[in-house]
Amino acid sequence: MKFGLFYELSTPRPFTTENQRMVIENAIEQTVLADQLGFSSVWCVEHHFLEEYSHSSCPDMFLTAVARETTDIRVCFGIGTCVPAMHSPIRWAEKAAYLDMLSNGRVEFGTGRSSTWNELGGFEANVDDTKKSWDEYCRVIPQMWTQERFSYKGNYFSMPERCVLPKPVQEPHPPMWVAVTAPGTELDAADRGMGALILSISDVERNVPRIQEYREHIKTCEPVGEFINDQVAIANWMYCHEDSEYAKQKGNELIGTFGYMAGQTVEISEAYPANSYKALGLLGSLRQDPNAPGDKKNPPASGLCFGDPATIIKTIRLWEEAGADQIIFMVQAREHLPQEEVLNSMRLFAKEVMPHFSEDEIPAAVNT
Amino acid sequence: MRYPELLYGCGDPETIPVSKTPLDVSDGSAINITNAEIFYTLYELKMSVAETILPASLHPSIPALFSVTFVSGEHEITGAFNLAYIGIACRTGIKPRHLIIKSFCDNDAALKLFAARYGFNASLARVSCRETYDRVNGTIRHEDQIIADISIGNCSPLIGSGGVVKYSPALNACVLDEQIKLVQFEANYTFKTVIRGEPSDQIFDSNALGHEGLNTHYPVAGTHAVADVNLLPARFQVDLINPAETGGATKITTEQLKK
Repeated sequence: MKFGLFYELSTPRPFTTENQRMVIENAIEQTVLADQLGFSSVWCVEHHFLEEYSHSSCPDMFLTAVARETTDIRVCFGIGTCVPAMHSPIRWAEKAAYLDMLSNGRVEFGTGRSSTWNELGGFEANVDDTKKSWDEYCRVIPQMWTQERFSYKGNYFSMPERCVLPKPVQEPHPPMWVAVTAPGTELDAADRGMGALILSISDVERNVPRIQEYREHIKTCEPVGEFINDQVAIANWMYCHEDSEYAKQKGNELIGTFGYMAGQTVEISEAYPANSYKALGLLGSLRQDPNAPGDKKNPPASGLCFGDPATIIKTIRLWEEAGADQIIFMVQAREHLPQEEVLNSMRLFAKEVMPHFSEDEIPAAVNT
Repeated sequence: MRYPELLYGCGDPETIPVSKTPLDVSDGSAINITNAEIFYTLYELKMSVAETILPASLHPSIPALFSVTFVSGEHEITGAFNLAYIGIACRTGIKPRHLIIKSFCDNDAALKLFAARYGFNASLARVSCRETYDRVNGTIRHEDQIIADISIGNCSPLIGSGGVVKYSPALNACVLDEQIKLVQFEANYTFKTVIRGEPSDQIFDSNALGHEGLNTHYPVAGTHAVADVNLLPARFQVDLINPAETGGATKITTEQLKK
């Protein structure tokens, strides 16, 4: 089991220069510590116009800053949006390869298509076509990396022959991933030989069949790239503290803060009915049905990594048994926790939890 | 540039139309309308406009949105009716809802029913909704004035029995337990047909609604659906005055209904 960090770069109001800088600088400090502690990856989202929830409009720039401050940790797009109104696939191929150069081969490239009216509406994107354009992008980007010269005539993107530069450091190219929120997207990932970056934060039990289906499907995949990236990463929360009750309390505060921010956005399904968005995205899935009794979303019963080290070890064992390859943690929300608390939580996790999941695993059973 | 600490409504609660009819949910049964027509259009509006309409108990959605909804149907108590209402998208806590700022109905019996059961403060008006060969049109005429004349064109059917259509519950200001509360109007829908189109050719008289700045310049989408509608008894209330952080939606209690 590997462990990573996941960044939305949520920012508290008011949006002063100081607040915005604080979020970015604190996140970079966390990634530097994570690199030293042995975390394996840093993932950064791409979002636009999501006030408070995410000010991460340029993940390539954040990841570049991280890459230049670290030595080993992998720098991962989580995700790059594959929608023509936002990006050309040429630019994604260029940016990812450029970062691969600057990080000396540490890039992982996640793909996705956005699920909010804030973003797709803001760019006046064609909501009905995002799944189809995503599919096309997934297929052409690896070719831009691996072919000396590339030309293409497609439905959502075309280009005459050019040499897309630079070429990535990693041979044959960086691993490809898909953001998985809506049910069934894990199969889209598997069919294309791409890693499943599961972003729907939920119970372990609910993800067991998804992971099993992914593993079955990927056996017969037709990979979009030069190799099959048979991996499942689970987005999760983590707050580790010697006092388990205190940790759980802080964890619930983080989830509450996250839910408050997610609630301000407009899911595609609330604004623009489309068959390409039948299920709620990550933000919407955090809310209950508006018609349901009660007004609060209860946190998932299992799977969240809030507690003392022993509690978290038990939870990660569940994910391990479910078939996850790595867990990537959100450790902050809108700077709710003081930075030192976040860093201490990461230190404790690295010291007391990570050794139980390393290749040189501690043989002793967890003392519970 | 201004840097607000929080984003919530700063409108004067006095400007929210309040139904004088006491809420009566003693019946407790749902109202079923078979083959109702629901014509719904959604538009973006300036955040500054939404903020000045919504009270402090509600967050505006981001981006700010407002909706125009027509419901046409027939019920044994009221006969055939056309109801139209305009709502501002908002949040109470984390749920999407629409605060009704104006409503109209063409049937006095239906108007009274919707006032008593769901807190609508509708004005009697000529309301119509019709489907033509290439568009759907809804109009509201009140006191010889056209309030709204809205169409959707370039329509295409949505497959899948309307599973992708979601109407956020509405909030009506009315008197409950001798206090003004925002009461949730909600329904279950069994869709039969749904078409989606582009809102166009609108007349929309913002001033007649009592709010400047509502315009249809930036449409999001429009749908016309035929559905069996199950109007649920009012179950939830939202405070009108208290800030969103301390307000939120709560269940209407039996004690409140007795008073």
